[in-house]
Amino acid sequence: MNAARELQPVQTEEQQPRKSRFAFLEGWLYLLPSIILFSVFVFYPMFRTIYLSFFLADQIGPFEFAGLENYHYILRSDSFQSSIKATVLFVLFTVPATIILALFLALLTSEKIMGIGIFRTFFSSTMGMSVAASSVIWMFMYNPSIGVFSKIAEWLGLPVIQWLQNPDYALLAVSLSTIWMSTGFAYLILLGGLQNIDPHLYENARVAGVSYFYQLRRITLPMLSPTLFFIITVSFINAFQTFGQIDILTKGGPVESTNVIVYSIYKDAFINNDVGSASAQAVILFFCVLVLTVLQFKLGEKKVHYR
Amino acid sequence: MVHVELAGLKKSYDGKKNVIEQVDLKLEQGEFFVLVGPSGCGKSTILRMIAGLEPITDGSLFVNGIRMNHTPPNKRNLSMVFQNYALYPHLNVEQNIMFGLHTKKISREEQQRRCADAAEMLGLADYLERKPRELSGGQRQRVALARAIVTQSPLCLMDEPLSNLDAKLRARMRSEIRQIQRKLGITMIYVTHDQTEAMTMADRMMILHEGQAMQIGKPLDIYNHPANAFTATFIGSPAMNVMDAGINPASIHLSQQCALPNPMKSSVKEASKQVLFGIRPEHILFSAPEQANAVVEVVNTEILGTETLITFIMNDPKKQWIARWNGQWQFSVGDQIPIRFDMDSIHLFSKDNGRLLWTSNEDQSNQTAREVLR
Amino acid sequence: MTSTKRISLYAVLIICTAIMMFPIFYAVSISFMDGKEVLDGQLLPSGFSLTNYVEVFEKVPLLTYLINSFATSAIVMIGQLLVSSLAAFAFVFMKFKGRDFVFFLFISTMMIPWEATMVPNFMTIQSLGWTNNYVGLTIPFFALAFGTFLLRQHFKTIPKELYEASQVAGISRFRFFWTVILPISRSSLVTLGIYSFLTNWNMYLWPLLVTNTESARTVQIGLKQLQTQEIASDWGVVMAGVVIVILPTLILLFAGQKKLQKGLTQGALK
Repeated sequence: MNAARELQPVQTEEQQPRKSRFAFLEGWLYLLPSIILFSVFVFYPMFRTIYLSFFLADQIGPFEFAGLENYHYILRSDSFQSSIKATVLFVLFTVPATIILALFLALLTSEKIMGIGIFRTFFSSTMGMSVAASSVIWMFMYNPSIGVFSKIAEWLGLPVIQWLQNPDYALLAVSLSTIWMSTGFAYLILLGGLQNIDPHLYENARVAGVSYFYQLRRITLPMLSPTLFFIITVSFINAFQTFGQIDILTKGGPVESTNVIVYSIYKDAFINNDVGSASAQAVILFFCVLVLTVLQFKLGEKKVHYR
Repeated sequence: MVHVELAGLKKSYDGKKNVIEQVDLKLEQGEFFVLVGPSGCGKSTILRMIAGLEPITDGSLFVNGIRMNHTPPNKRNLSMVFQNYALYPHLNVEQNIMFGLHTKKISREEQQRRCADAAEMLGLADYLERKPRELSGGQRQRVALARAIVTQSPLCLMDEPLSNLDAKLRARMRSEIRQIQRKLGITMIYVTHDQTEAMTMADRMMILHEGQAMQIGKPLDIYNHPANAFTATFIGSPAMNVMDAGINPASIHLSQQCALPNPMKSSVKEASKQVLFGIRPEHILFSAPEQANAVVEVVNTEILGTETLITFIMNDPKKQWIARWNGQWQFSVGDQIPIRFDMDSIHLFSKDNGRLLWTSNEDQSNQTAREVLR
Repeated sequence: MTSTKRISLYAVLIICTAIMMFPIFYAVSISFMDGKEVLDGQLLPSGFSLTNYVEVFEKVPLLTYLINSFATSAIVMIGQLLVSSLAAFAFVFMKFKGRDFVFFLFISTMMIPWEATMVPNFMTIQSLGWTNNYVGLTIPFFALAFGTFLLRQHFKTIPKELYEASQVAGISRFRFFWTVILPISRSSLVTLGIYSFLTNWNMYLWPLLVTNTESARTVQIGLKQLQTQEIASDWGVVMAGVVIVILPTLILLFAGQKKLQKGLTQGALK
């Protein structure tokens, strides 16, 4: 230490930091891009949708205040009722089946055996398949004259069904293709969840000599429950938001049997140019998803902090 | 000259409870100072306040006489070694060592030179191209040291730098760190929970307990003249035996059978009827039966080769004493052995607050007491 | 595991693979068939003729669509990585007033289904004149709450001492973010990158709304166009289009399956 320093007064006040006020803003700076984008493309349109749902409106904008008229109208309309029915049925057809199928595949491939990587890749492959591509393939498979389903029916001597043109079967057909499309993602998540379970738990179970199904019931499923819970919620939400396969396979028909809510919103807003009614339906969709998400938070609070 | 000074330093997270209570400390230039205490005592918090990583709630930090409470860490002219070394996994050893040097406006050649010197000093010269994950624990530790050295900061802070190493390596690094510090003449503030490290490395040390400074002083002074029961039991291994004892003007009662003469003169308050009796294991001696203070029952023996630790009880099986004797002693559990206390080495502590009431060497004790704060 | 168990497990796995992979296999197979073979309902083509593949590029401007899809997916990927990592960095390494509130806002965006907001979003894009170009196809997706959480999860595992060491060394916060955090989070960034590329390549509804010229369309809309034009006449060509469109994402998925599985589970839970 040099002498100059020693000559300094024993206790000097340091210079007050200049940056302290700016430091508070710095954090916001990093968040700014997200905040702006969320404001413009999530929060603003959400409020705008709620706002528009109280107006008679077209694609240009609102032109007359309508109060709850839009809601009255859609709730009374047969079209919306069939849309709700189609949506609920669609969700019930697809979600449980997807989860069970994905869980079954995940359990099958959780053992480390030779070549398992190939099977895992196969089973997750539908995650890489776009809705449009998958729908086009399934459309061909459902083709009544040359599709594979008809060929099988023919071969078995069963009557050929017009899968996508028959109101009794169309929703089922769309659901079947959707189950196939969504299995990949659910499988990937569940497999990840299975692999996060501490292998010592299984080693201990093996030492204790319990059966496979006992392990499944007492170790695997409880330990997997947060993951299961997550994927169930996500699947529900995704199912509520189905659009692409409807647009390509059935266009909501026949006789509105597959007119699920998002397709109905799309049709009202962009084809019928009735933005008010579309907005009212969007608000209802929003509340459905909100309830599901809140349910997820409430029920899964302890194990799942957020999805 | 005084390099670092803490004046009435306090820390509180919630504004109500202080996790650090009023720490006052003056560090000399070139001193190796150790902050030691059990985990959660606040030693790391003090270090982090000195580093500027944790805001100071109250009191002042002076470096070279300049108040530094609000100075950002990089302006405090210090280096720091972290417990987990904080090596950047994506940078190689050389890049890790030189990390941040450019901000100090040091030329590229100078950076290279310092890095080469430090690597040479620590035996890292052959590893400069390696990534941290390709190094052993000891080598990583050296990289962290090198990173502190190349900054040439006059003050170095170390936060439990050896706690992730195995016992053998730790012993070697203790001496190595001490040698480097002496060679470079830097002031060191070193945090550890390990009293052996504190004893072997420190010029002076501060013992912390629940955010309070219990004692500050040279290691041996503290060992020989602990200011309170906490320091007495914390420093030294095995720990000092500290037991409840009854006291009257004539004698100290350790049990029904064992009474010792009361060394405290009338100057000591007669009122206290209960005290804490403290004696280090090496001051409990094997005795000829006729000179014995007590005959005790052996509960366990640990023969360490050059010395033997004997665990024994008097009457109460919950109060286990430990004695340390040179050589190899073979007793069986349940053996009755006569022992004697070295009356020149006993300590009496207050039962209420743990403060030292009496020890044989009053002069030295007073000198130590002067360094005790508050 | 006994060998009988092992063999039966493999048998089940192979059956499942056959069922799950059938649609993809079928599509590939049809893409090599000529019209007559398709109408006969054959399962396997008689040869590997690339006629359909050549034809699909002639019937629709598939190359333009592919370029559009590649470009928009890549732009969104880079945008999402940047915007999400900046936000995640702030959430993990900075403390400031209002941080928890913003975090709550981020969570709440996940409760708003994108489809419920598409009408005003479409109007916004239209009034900004962003229809039929990359800006309108990409900018709305730059901020992603899921991506922010996924990265935040990873950033939280980075020892805070790395940050403190850089503070002592005098590295600025942004430099620390750029030269330390991003390089050591490479694997999480790759995971999120794959996820965002996949999602955007496969996006259907939004491009359908904001593009109506051939020069701006993406492959997914191209498929729809192909299918509507060619229905029941030339499935071989349609399937050739399908195969070309799914190939990039399938390759990406095969390459990144492990990472994706680990990363998505982490981002989803905990």
